[in-house]
Amino acid sequence: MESIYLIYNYIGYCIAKQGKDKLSEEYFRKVINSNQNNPIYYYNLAIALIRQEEYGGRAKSLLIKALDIREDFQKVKYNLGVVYSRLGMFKQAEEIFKSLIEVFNDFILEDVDYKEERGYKALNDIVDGYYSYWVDFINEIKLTKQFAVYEKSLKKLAAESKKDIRREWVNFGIEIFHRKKYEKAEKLFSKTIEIDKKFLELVKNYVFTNFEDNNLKEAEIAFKKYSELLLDIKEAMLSNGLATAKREGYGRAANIFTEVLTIDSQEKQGWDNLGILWLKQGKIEEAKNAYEASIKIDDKARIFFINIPKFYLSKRITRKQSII
Amino acid sequence: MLYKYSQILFKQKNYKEAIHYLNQITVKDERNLKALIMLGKIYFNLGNYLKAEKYFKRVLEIDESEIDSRLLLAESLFMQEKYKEVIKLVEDLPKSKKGRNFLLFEGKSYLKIDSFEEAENIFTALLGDGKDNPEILTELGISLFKQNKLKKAIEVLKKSLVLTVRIKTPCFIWVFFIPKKINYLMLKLS
Repeated sequence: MESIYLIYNYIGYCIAKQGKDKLSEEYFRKVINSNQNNPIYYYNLAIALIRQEEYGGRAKSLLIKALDIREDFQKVKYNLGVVYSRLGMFKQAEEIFKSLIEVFNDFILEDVDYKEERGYKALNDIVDGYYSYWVDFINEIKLTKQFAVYEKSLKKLAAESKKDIRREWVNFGIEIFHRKKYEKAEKLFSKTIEIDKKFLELVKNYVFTNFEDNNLKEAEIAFKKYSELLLDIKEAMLSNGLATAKREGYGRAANIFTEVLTIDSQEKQGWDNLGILWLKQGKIEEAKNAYEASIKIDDKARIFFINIPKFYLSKRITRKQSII
Repeated sequence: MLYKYSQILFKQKNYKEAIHYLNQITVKDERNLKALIMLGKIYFNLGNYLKAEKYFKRVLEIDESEIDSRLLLAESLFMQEKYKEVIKLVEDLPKSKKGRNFLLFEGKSYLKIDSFEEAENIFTALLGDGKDNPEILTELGISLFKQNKLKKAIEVLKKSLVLTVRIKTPCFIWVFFIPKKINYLMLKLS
């Protein structure tokens, strides 16, 4: 009866790829009814359930069953870790992620020939894998909104990871910001921005060097990296500006937003925030200019002009001329 | 005499002894085609595909037209995951000798090396003669799935499923699946 469950399985895959998880679940269930010996079939059904956010009893027990059949099935282990963390069972999740990391570490020690280029690539893949397991785990924790566990895990990642985790710190900073710990958030953003700036300069030079050497393919790859980095640094700087502004360091915050706008003059959020900050400092003309620049990017920003009469009202100053 | 005795042993699945006598034949006559083919088949049945490959290759060196040995060689190579060699073996065959079985192995090999479009073309051509074969339909469905042609893949796989169930279900059971309307008509006629 081999081909029947093979067919059921592939129909299940097709349907799952179409995003019909409930229907794919039915097919994967039929597969298991025909063959109980293959861990992949348990894994497929578990994934169909996880996609429907059914983490509890069924998905968990299917993944455990798959691991009973094949102990070293890393993908299953990883998803069991995800299920545990979604269920708030962090201790069990951490145990699983640690065991995955151990596998990577063993592999680094035993199987990779560092002298070979292939070896370097493999090492890089392993470190990436090691890193992504942790990052995924931490993101899972973040979703559960258990802030203390999130912070602890991130610190652990920072201590153990061989990779750069600046983006994770920025995300963490945003979380802290929402908890009104502006000073701590500001410190985190500043630290990231400092490194990002140096890196941005390096990549920029690399783009130009390759472009001048007519090495266009490499220049294109580097430019993509540069654009990604630019987005990241902008996000960190905007967050930093907001954190500084919340601590009422309006002048410093305005400088940060101005710096964002020197990097990208089309950054609407930069102009909007700058407008608000100028207004808070009573610099009406500058605020007006900032809002006008924002309107040029997106007409919906017109609504921000309402801030100007509001400002006058709060200061009990009568506005003589119309603003818009 | 030795060959006939080996043939009996082969039929009895007494492979160890059969190998012993067949080796005696090949020591005396290293180009003995029948003995080499049987040795290849024995190793194939024992799952020693590397040795089977060795014998079938020797057979083809002696007689290129040995089509059964070529097919078993293709299968031995496939089982050893030497997919590119399978493809080359089939491509080297003249068009008139490329039977369904050869093409099936070629298609499966393309599927294994992620050349899904080539695999799809071969399986579609194989189905072109009008005979719906569940095995080929399944392979075609997989190659369509791998190319993200999901709707068509589901259609083909479902067709394969119906045929597989039909083959694996004894005819008398199908009586229970005759649509109710036909049952009603049959009753009316009687």
